[in-house]
Amino acid sequence: MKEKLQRINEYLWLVPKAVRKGMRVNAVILANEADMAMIEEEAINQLTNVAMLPGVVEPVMAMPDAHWGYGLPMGAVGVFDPEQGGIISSGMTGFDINCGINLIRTNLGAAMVKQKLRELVDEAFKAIPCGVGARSKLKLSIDELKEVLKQGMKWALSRGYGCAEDLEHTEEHGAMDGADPSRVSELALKRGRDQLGTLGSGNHFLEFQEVVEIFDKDTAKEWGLEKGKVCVMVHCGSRGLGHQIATDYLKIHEKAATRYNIQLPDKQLACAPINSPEGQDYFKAMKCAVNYSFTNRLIITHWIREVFERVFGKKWRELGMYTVYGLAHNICKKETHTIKGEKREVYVHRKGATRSFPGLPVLIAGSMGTSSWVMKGTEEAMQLTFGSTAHGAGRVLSRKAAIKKYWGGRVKQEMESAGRIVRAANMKVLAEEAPGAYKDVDAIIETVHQARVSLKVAKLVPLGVIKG
Amino acid sequence: MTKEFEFVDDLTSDVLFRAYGKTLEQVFENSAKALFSIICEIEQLEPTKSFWLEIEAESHEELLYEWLSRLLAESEIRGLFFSRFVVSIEGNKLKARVYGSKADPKIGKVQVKAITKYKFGLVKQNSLYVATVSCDI
Repeated sequence: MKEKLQRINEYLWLVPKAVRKGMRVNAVILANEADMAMIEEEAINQLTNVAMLPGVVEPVMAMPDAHWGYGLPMGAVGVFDPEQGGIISSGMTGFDINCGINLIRTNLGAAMVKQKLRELVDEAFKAIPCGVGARSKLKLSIDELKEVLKQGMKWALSRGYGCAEDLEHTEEHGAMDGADPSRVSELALKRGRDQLGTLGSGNHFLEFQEVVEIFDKDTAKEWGLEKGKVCVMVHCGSRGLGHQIATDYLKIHEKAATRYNIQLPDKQLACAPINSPEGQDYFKAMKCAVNYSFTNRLIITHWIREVFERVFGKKWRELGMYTVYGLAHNICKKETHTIKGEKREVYVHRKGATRSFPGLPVLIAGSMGTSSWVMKGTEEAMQLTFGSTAHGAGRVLSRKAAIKKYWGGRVKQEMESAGRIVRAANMKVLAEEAPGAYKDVDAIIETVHQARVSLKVAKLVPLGVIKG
Repeated sequence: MTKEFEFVDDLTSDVLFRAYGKTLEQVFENSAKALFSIICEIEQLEPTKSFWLEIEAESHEELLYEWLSRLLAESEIRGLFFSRFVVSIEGNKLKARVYGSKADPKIGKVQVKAITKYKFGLVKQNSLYVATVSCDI
């Protein structure tokens, strides 16, 4: 497939619809040559699959961090027009609905934090349940959980978690309107009940990071980011509740695709017309998972603030621990975009992609032990990528290969000898998540910055890492 | 003796396994063992709790998908890791006794978010049932 791509410019590659029968629109990959070499053929094939679905809006987009995923690659955007028979797809949004990031700043210098880093990491490891099998410290009834799903972060605020500024600095203000718990299965509710306020496992993490470089002084100042100061990054998602909603609706959408005569080039792209009961039910249920995940990250933020208060003996407001921003990497949203000169309301599936709207923060996480980035959304992203940019590094080694190549104890040792403190629920996770198992996030950032779909504001490197 | 299951290095981000069984019941049991050997240190578990599970689906392949997906959900809801499964299948109905013990993150490995349809299958090759299962991590 790669030999059939047409290079548009230094950062854009066209996958013409002529390459495969049935493609309704072109696909476009945003990548430089080095990124393109890392993108698998299968991921490009997956873009062509999405381009075959009804109501798809041109182009199906892939970001430089794109890699094979279920249905739609990770690091990709699929947009559909309800007026053109467009679909919504549980498979395209993915299993970890609203897997995303919160970044909290502090006014503490790295030198001061380093003095208490071990205590800080140990306390946070105790305070925030992490790893597979960990259960929440909260005990919610099903009725109360339904309020979380409806209200998102507003629920947390009403229960004393976080502050109004946290909501202001979160995508959708921490709650998508129209979430309907009656569209969520009992199994999903039961899975979610004991997991609110847990980190999870795999690539999810909590990091204490130092701002090491500022690229846009004015924006950094406006967002409270200062060189040498410490931030906390929380990366997790909607936990079992979101996984179950995705699993439930994959089945529903598989049947719906047959009912509405949608030819699925890949079963994992199971979908339903946006304007159908199955389509709207999914959208309402997905919003519940989105709201749960925003709330999950806010509760974790609250507990991190408490840890800092204990370790540094000051109130979190005195420590300047405000949310820089919180956002989603896996989501489907109804947005207005200008398409061929006309404003249209479309459904945007971002899977392993970050919203990049002009002037708004973009947060991109590296792999464990590597840098993470704060960027700023741009007008160019609105023109080129439906207001989207990359989300992170993306794996290059399988988990099995990473375990073969790395030993968790050694990974920990190497990170600690570089002055970083690491805690993990299980050492094997450290081997699986070793920095060498991932692409170089800095190279991805360079591409999206040069292509101007998001612009560098600040670079952060980890001091302490907690892995689930 | 037939191999119970093996992991295949096929997926970059996730985990794919093949499970085997001389009978349908055995391939369902071995698939479940493979799944929980991803999630936890299964050999360290000493089952202290058990429960019955009944599932029905339209085909044996669908039944396998439902079985594994349901085990993921039950593990989180009950706060248990599972290590032993006794399955009986009649037609497209499954009845199983599932054995496990309290999920302790110290012996937890990695969370499986979902069973996916990528390469998913259940076939009979000669006299052996073979299940192919990919797990989203």
